[in-house]
Amino acid sequence: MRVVVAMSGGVDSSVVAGLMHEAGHEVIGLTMKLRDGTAAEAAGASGSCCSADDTQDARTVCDALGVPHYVVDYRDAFRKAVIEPFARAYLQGETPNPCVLCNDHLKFSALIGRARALGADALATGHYARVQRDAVGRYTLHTASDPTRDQSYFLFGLDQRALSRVMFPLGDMPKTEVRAHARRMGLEVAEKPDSEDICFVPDGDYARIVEDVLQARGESAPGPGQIVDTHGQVLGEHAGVHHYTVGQRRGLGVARGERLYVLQVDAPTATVTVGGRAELASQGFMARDASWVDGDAPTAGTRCVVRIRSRHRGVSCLVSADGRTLRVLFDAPEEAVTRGQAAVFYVGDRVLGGAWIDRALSEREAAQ
Amino acid sequence: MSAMTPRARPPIQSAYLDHNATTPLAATARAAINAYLDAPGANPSSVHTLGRSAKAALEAARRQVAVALDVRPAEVVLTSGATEALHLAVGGMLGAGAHVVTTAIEHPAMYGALDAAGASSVRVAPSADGRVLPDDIARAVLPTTRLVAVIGAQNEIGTLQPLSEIVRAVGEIPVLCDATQMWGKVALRPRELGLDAVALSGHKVGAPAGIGVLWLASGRCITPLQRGGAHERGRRAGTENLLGAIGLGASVAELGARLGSMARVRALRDRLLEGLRALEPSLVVHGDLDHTLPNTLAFRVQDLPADAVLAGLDLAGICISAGSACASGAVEASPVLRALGLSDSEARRGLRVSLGPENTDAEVDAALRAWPDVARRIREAET
Repeated sequence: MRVVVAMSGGVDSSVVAGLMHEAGHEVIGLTMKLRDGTAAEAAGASGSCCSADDTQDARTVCDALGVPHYVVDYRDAFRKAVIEPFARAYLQGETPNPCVLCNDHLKFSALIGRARALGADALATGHYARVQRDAVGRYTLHTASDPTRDQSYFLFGLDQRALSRVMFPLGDMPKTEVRAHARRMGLEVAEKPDSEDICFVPDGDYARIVEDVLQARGESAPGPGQIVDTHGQVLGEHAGVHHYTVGQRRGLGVARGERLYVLQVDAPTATVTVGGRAELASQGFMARDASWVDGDAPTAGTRCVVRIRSRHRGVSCLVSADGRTLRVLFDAPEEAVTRGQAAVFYVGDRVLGGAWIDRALSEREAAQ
Repeated sequence: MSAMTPRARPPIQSAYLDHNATTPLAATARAAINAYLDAPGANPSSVHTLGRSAKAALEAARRQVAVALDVRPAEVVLTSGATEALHLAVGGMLGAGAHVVTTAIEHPAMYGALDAAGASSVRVAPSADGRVLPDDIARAVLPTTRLVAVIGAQNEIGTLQPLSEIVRAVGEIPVLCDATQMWGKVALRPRELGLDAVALSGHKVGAPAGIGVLWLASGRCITPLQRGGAHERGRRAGTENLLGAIGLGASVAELGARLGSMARVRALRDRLLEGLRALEPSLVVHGDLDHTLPNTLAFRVQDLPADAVLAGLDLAGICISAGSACASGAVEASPVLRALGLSDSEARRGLRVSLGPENTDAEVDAALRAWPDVARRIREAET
C-alpha cells in the first residue's frame, strides 16, 4: 500500500522509511518544516527559510531508497499551535509539554490529512509505541516493548480515527536494533546522534524562547518577583516566573538549612514558593481537557497508573471524570505535580488517555 | 548496500512542465559539448596551439551569443549564470550606498546583488496585473539614483515588463535588466530596448546550468568582482567554463527556432488553461496573459494548497512548480504574489506551469487527466 513516512531526518524515521520500503510498500517521505532556519540562512536571501540539514538528511535517505520526498511548510501552524501556547503557559506559571501539542495539532492531524491528500493509506512515524486492535475492532495504544524508549506518553491525544491511520513500525524494537537496521541498509544517518531536547529549544534555554516569543509579539518578559517559603517569608528575588518549574532545585539563588525545591509558581503575583522535599509531595491533582483513546472516560473510581511527566515512572491512582475534568488521587503521595504537564493513564501497557494537570490537591481536598 | 537497491522507482515522468526552472539540454548543445569532450582539452589562456584552439572555441561561442542578442561580442561577459551576472553588474557599476530603483517583483538574485553591493534601493510595487508602471519607476528616481534595476519577465508569473517605456521614463539613468526568463521565449534585443546591462542564464535556453551572460552596453565600464587575471577583458578573472560556453553557443545558435516554436508552445499553454478552467471554475490566472511569456501560466484554485497539488501531480508524473520554493523544498507564500496584492493563503495556492518546445499535446493531456484525482483527494482530506 501507499504509506507516507513522517521523516525528521533522524535515524528512527529514516529506518521506518527503509523498513516500509523493504516490506514492499510504496513509500512517500514527508518532512515538516516547523520553524525558520538559522540566522545565517535568514541572511542568505529574502524569503529564505530553509534549515536544510535535517531536511536534506531525510531527502538523502529517500533518494537512496528511490522514493519521493516532499517538505510541508507548517511554520505558521507550529508557531500558533505549539510555540505560542508554550510561551503563554510559562507566563501562567505552567510547565508545558509542546511535543504533545505538536503530535495532536500537526503530526497526527494536519500531516495525516496531507498523507490522505497524496493517496496514502497510512502515516508511519518513528515513534516508539504500539497500536493494536481489540476483540471488538477498537484500536488500542500501548507502550513500546523497549521501556527505555517508550514514547506513548506523547501520544495520548490520538483518537480512534487517528490510530486507524498510523503505523509505528519501531514499537517492538530496541534502539540498538534500529541502529543495526540503519547500518544494514547503509543509511547515511545511521550514526547520527539522537535528539533529546525539545526541537525548538536545542540548548535547553526555555526562558529565552519565552522571551523571544514575547518580543516578537511586542510584549515584555515577566518581571522579577519574590521567592517565598510556605509561611510567606521572603527568601529572595527571582528574574521572572518563566525561569521556574515545580520540583526545580537548581538556580534558585536562595538558601535555607535544607535543600530547597520550587513548590509553586504563581504568575499573577509573580511569586515562586519554595520548600523542602517533604513539602513537594501531594495527594493528587485536578486535570482538564481529558481525552481517551477509545473515546469514553473510564468508569468512576478506575484504578490505573498515571505518569505525570514524560520521564515519570508511573504511580498507582484512582481517576474520576466529570466531563473532561479529572480528579486523580494517588495511592501514595507523589512529588512535583506540575501545572501544565500531561498526566497520562495506563492499565498495564495500554494507554487509556490523558489530560492536562491543572493543580495539585491540598490534603484537605484530597480527603473529601 | 544491497538492501538499498531502489525498488519503488519514482513514476516515469509523463510531463515536464517546469521550463522556467530549467530547460532540458538542447540536442545541439549536447552534440557540441560531446564533440569538445573528445577533443584535447587546454586552457584558453595558454600560448600553445591547443590553448589557442580552446580560446578560439570560447570566442566562437561568445560570437554565437552576441549574434543571438544582436550585440557585439566584446560586450558579452560570460559568467556562471544570471545570479553572478547581476552581482557583477550591480557590484561592478555602483559604489556602496548608491541609490537604486528596483521593483517589488524581482528574482531574489537581484535583491541579493543589491544587498551585496551595499546599495540603498527602493522597490516599486507592480499593479495587480503584475506589471510595473514606467511612471511609478520614474517617480521613485531621486537626483542621487545611479541605477534602475528591473526584471524583464517575472519568473513566477511570466509577466513582461514595459522595458523600453521604463528606459524612456528614467532618461539618462542606466537600466539593468534581469532578462533571464525572456531569453528564448520572446525577442530580446538589449540595444533596441535601450538597456545598459542585461543578465542572462544558459540553462533557460537549453544550455547546461553553470554558464550565463552579463551583457554590457559598449562604453559601460565595471570594476571586476573576481580578480586575479585578465579573463573576459578584465571583467571577470578565472579560467573560463569552456564546456558551458560551447553548450550555450550551440543552443543559442538555434534561438530563432526556439522562438519560432513559441506559437505552438502558447497554443499548448492555452489549451492547458482551457482544460483546467473546465475542471476548476474557480481558477484565477495571476498576471495578465496579454502581457505574459507565451509559455507561462501562473494561477491558483480555490481550496488547493500549492504544495499538496505539487506533490500530488508529481506522484502522477507531472512536474510543475509553485510560486516560490526554498532550498529545503518547502513551498512558501510567494513574495511576488503578495506584491500583486494576494493574501497569504491565496499566495500559498499559487501554481506555475511553464512549457517549452519539447512539450507535446500528449503531455498536456496527461496533466489534465491527472488533475481531477489529485484535486479530489486534497479536497477530501484537507478541507
